[in-house]
Amino acid sequence: MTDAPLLEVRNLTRRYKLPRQSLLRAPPVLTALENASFSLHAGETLGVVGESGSGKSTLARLIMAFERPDAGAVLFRGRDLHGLGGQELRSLRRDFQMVFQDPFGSLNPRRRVGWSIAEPLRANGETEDIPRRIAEALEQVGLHAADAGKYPHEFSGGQRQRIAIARAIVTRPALLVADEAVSALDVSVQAQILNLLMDLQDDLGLGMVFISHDLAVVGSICDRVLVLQHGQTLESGAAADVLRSPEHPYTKTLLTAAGVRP
Amino acid sequence: MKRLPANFLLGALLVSLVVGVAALSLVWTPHDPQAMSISTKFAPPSTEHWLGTDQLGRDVVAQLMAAARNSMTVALVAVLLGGSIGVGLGLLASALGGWVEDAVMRLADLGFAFPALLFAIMLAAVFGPSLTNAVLAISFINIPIFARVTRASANQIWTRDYVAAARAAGRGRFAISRDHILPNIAAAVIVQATIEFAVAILAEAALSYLGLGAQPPASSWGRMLSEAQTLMYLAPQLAIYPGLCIVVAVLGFGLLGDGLRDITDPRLVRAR
Amino acid sequence: MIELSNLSIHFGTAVALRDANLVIERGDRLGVVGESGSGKTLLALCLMGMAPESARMTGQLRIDGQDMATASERDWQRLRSRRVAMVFQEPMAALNPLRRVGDTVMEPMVLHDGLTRSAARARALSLFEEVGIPDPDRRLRQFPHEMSGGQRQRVLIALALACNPMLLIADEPTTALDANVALRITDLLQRLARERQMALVFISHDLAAVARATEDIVVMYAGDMVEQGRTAEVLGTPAHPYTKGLLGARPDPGVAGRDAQGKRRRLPTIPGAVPPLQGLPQGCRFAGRCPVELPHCAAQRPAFVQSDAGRAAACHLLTEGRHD
Repeated sequence: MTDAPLLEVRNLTRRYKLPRQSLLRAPPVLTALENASFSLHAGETLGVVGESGSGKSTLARLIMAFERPDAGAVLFRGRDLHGLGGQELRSLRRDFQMVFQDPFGSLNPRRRVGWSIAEPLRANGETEDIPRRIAEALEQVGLHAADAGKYPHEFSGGQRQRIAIARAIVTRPALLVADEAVSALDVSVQAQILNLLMDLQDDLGLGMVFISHDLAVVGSICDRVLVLQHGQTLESGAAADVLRSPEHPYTKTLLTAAGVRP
Repeated sequence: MKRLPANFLLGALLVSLVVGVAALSLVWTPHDPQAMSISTKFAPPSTEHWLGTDQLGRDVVAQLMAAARNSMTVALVAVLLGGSIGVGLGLLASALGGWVEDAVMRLADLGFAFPALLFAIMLAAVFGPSLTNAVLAISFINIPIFARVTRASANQIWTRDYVAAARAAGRGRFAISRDHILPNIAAAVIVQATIEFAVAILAEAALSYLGLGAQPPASSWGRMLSEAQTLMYLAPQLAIYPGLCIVVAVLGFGLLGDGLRDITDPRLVRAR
Repeated sequence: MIELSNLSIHFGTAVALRDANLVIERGDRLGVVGESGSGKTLLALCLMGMAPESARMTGQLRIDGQDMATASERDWQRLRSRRVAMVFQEPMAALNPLRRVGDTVMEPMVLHDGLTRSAARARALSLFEEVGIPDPDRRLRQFPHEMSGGQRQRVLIALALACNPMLLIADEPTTALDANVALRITDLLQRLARERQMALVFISHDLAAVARATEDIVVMYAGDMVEQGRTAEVLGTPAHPYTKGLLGARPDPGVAGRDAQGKRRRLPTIPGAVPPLQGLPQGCRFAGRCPVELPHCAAQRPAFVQSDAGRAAACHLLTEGRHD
């Protein structure tokens, strides 16, 4: 592991103003995420566990710089992502990519799969050799180069997720954010995709932020774990420790629900 | 063919009929629609004049065909013009959001509030009545309609994960609007365009009826109706024919648009 | 009470459910597990007479002695809610957002049992209490969007119980819920089945939830029932290769982590994917993916063989006396 962290999140906070309840009082504020902090090195996997309303999706969006935080910072290779200008940020995006939850919604249904995979390449002006790089990416995720000409609806959920992963790695990023990337898949397909992610991590030296509501999945693939609820970080530490001896009662509930006995 | 809904098939049939006749009139009509022959005015239907002649001895069928051509042209240009501007504004509003979106929508509200006919009359009063002005007026009315439909559909697509993935890839809003938003709202826009086509046909007929559209000697169903009004007791058929044509054209496009919506709306696709 | 004999569902030439055999008695708590395309939801719909229109049913489906396989819609309407009831997956989608939840729950009582409005209201109140909705009087008058996900699911359960059915089918009842809510709903379903001497069919892909809520289990794969038995036994010592593969593919943090070389342990997987309905082998449908496959497995259909009391699996290896 290199000494400088790949990704550093410091005291990240994000609040949303809710619609006014009365004319006289100030509108209520929802704290989606408060003081989230962690650091991630290349080759490491950090799990973020939480359910709906925990702030995990907000955290993902902040890391990917889709939204600005109200407080705190996201440092990618030491640079504050939210302090960068539009063009600078866009050119940096090739180095951190995301895999989404819904295999049916993450690919443009009107475009061939090869086109979608190559999109990050085109966005960065890397236009030479696109067909070869598409083929390479497809093969890396266990599909065939010939699949590039097909449309998303011709594939199963698990295959679509592989395509989404192919798109995420085509620019050889350093960081991958997987937001509930296996939650919509059957157990047997889930195992295949998790293995694929681990293989890719080894091959490309990726750092990975793995977001899920399933503590068992997180425990099997992550080095360290962060447990979120209502925007607060309840617990964090090495995955093995948190799963073996959880401190917070909510973590224990999550373990029971996942069928894991600590 | 059995899978296609009835309204689509019927609409397609009527539309092909009207458009076919309009296209045909470019190369052939039974007679010159503008050839007058006072001696044969008000002639009943015959092999010479299939639907007879009007008050100036002009062949009714030829006039109806020429009018169809004018009607289709006006509707096409108006919908294309108004539609392109409207869709462009809608995409812009959706992509930029914030005050731009609000401004565009308020302008659209203004456009809606303004009665179409009044606008046409204004144009006619200032620039003189003509087919061109009718086209402009109808285009203008289409802009807010398309802007609204586009913005609503586009807003939904912006929330899709594949758009987020495109942002993650580093694509700008213009590229995303062109490559992701537009193809996925095309269905809704086309349905709207078809329905607006029907509206445009009716609008053109109304304007021509008022004398604000096609000027003589150009043919128009609306103008034929207006002329036939004074002859109601002498020759009622001269009002019925153009009226029927309007009904068939408007119904055809309306049904077609309705059918297209049924075909393309994913929520209406029955499971299995 | 409910008996399925060689029940099959055909869509044209594709067989989506093949020779299902099942007996459900009052008080049974049966889990039905399987992945996408296993036929578990189709099975549930059959029990309600709600299979899709294009489905063709063969075999026998007896409810209280009456064969329902060829029953009309009217016959089914008499059974639904009174004898068999279903709790669906998405609480928000299954409740009419424009009606108060009390009205929704009271409707079947008035319709099927012919209760007066006041009698229905009284029963609805006691149902709400039974399913654990606090302040039931106020809640009856609320709309679905005013309640939390867990409460909506409880309303759905109350709705299903409205006419005291003898069978409650829960289709993925915990999928859309948070962990602690899901645990409570699972416990609630168990308690209701016991207290009312009602049969519970718990359909889920969540093996942990099924383990908590059921006594017996049936495992399905691509339309076939492949294994059956006591839940604890099947999940503890699975007999069928698919069940073993499914259980093995579950992420187990106990075994995970890195090995001696520092490499992350991979999860054992079932190779390949479920073939489409038209591409399934004639014999055992798991052929082509099975790690212990025999040459004749793809062509010959294994019989559902009882091993000990109550345990059965459809696998040639077991029939031929070879154990894994």
